[in-house]
Amino acid sequence: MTVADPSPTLRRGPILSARGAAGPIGLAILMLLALACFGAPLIARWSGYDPLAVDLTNRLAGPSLAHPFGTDDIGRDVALRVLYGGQVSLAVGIAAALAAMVIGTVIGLVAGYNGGRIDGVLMRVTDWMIALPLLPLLIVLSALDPAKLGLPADLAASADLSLYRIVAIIALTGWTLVARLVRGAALSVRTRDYVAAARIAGAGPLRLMVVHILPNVASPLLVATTLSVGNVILTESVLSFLGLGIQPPTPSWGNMLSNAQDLITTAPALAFYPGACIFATVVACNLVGDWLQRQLRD
Amino acid sequence: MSALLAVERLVKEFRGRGGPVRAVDDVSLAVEPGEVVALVGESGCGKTTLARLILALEAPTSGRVLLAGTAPAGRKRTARRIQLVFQDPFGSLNPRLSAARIIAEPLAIHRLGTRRERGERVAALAAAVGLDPAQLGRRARAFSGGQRQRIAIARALALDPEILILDEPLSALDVSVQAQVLQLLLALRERRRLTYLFISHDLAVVEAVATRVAVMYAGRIVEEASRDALFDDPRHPYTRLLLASIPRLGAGKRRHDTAPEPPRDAPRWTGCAFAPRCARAVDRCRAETPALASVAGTPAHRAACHFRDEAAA
Amino acid sequence: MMRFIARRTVQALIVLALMSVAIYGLIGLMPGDPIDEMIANDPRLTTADAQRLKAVYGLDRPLPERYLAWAEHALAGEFGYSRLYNAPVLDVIVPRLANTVGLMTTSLALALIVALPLGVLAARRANGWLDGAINLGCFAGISVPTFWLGLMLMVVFAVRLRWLPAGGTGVAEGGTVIERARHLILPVATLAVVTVPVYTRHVRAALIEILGLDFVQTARAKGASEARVIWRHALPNALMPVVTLLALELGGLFSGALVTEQIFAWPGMGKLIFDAIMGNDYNLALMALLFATAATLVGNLAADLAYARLDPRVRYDRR
Repeated sequence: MTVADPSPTLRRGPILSARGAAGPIGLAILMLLALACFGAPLIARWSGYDPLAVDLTNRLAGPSLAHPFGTDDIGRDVALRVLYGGQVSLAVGIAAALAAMVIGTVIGLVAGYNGGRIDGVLMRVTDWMIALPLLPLLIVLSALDPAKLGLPADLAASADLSLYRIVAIIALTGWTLVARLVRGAALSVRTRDYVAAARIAGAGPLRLMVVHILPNVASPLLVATTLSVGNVILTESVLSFLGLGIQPPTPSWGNMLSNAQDLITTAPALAFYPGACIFATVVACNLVGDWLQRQLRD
Repeated sequence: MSALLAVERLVKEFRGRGGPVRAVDDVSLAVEPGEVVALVGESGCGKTTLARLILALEAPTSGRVLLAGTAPAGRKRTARRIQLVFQDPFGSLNPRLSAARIIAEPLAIHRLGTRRERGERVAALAAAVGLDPAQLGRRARAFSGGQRQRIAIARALALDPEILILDEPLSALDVSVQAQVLQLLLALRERRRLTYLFISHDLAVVEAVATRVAVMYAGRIVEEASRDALFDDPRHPYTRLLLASIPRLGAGKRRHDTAPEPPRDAPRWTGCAFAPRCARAVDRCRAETPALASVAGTPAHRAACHFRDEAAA
Repeated sequence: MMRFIARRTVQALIVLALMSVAIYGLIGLMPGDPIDEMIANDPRLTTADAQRLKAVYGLDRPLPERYLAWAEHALAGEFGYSRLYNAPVLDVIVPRLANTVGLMTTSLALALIVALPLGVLAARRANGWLDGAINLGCFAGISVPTFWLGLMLMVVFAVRLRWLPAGGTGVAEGGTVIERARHLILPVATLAVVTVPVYTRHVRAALIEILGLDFVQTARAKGASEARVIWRHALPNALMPVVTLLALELGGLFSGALVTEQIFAWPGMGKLIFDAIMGNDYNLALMALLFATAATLVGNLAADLAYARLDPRVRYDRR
């Protein structure tokens, strides 16, 4: 699932013949980024610098020892802001990927286990979702008025709304790949004798799905979810870039880029760092995901 | 009815290429406590479908299944009274689970006993089927075919059922192992007073094990008699054919004077289903379906053939 | 075959109908009654005026009624009026569509021109260092966020070096072929960077599989040069997955590259959809989205048909 141009079907192609070292390298990159981003408060404390400190005398400074990435248009340290933004982007990425995985797994299990009409209906729904143009759909969903949806007023007004919303809409639109995966596995497993044996022993559908079918699909599920994290981060950043995702003042890599667009002629560096971080994260996720895929094949 | 398990006019129809196909065609059978009723027939005759119908894995198109005279009260209740041992020891056990978990699963499903009690019961079952309890922690795929079948049997006995359906329990095993598992099954039956419905295409095993035999062909029971009566005095041409082919039937083995087997999804024809392959068939056989009726003089011996009253030459 | 097509067409129509309902409903859930916004912007509007305007635009009626009214008109071929642009919807969409299609086809063409030889190269030197390098490049290409790439390219080529314009289609600068071409370069390059890797990988994978087949050996044995073997015999068969991909891309052709259009101020469908949705312009948003969905559905159908008819395995057997 991706919203960057072009359309989603293109992004997943045949497997890279990456060398064996690629996976661990990707993992290392991810760990480093995660550590840096989630440890941002510690870094801030250690360097003695307050990321929110506005210093109008030092606007748009170039890289220096005090500010390795320079400062932004109101004097804040860019490096720290990138790290704080990373906290949000990474957290949203992982949360949304996991949520989409859960939704997709449930739908896939129900469809594959039951077969027949239920499967037909669910797969029809899945196909429709795939046919919808993703980015416009996300735009519409993120622009919905929470008050009109009936959300309680204090939730609608809270600063965290944009966070919950973006996780929710990405999850609601991104479950299709996982659903198909899980359904396929469920369909193949449900005819096995050991599933029949469990039914004869009196097992209900829930137990059959969780104990017998799900473990068989765990590996491809893991791979698909890992690969989806990169795409989710891209999606979040595109939406934030368009002003629909995470709203300032909460920093995210996407909305930092949106901010930087206005200053592109005077301070292009502001756009460079957040984007580079997104790039690095997505590359790392893809490396790990592909490596996992190759490992699990053998 | 005192029968432990009874099947009344059971029919199961599938949608085939040429029209509806009856995998099970008007089958009635009764199993008394303590019996070993063998269900014999070549592959495709409907025996496995019949087993699945009895266990409510499939719903019958018509007819019913009775347990001790009453309709089964839900799958969980049925599970405590009647269980199944599958043919394929490799497919019938979840390869990711340990043997202990597999055997304990029925107990877990029915929430019987505490953790420790279940563990004790599993150990007892394992010992009863000849497995070393210390090995039970290993995953199912670490065991051999014969051992797996023992695990399957232990699992089937976990809920202490009265009836065990055994669907070709020996066919996938090595010859040397078959005898051992057979011994085990006989011993278990004695010790636990079980009733067996034993499905097999191997008449040698049937002869060793059964008290009563029912022969199936094309979804119907064509002959039913006590073990001795069937083997000594078969009254249906198909039974005679089977007996002539001992010691083994199976795909690719030699057959006597048979026409090619009818395709599975051929439409039903009137008359005896065996007529195309029968050496004795006459026009009446093709026009009129013979009923499963008693042979003159021995009510317990029934055959579905117009010539049932003629003893074998 | 015809039954298949007919069935899929019916399904597609149902999807489109459902989509129209869904979108209409969703837009209705968006904040801001457009008339209220007009009032906010222009305090001279009295309530009476507002009421009148609402009546004119039919905004005083409940949502389902408005939808049905739209549907009626749509089925009759009248797709309504765009509030934002004060023009019939079709008049607004068509030129934008042309722009987007122009952009997308150019970038696709460029991508294919690059991807095919690259894929061939990678396949021929499979598992060698060149293949590895190409792979790495592909990897980077699909991981890069397009909007970032676009911005960076713009910084380098338009701001720093001033070789290329930063936005627009070139019409304002005279509309000559050269001007248009100059304006196309950056957006097309941005899109191509993301597209090339996908096709390259597919070509490479398909080609590797085909090069191992008998009829290729036959061609070689007959004395054909390696180049001829690849380009005349092997590649046409390897193109099948590429064709399928292209068909599936059809939807993207119409919904455009929203973010790229935004960055390079390219007046296309992507930007139009965005503006229409954010501006509560029901008619415009609906039609634009339905266009895109219809294109996707047609593309899916074409891909399925192509797959069924041109399955390479069937081809090989015949040889």
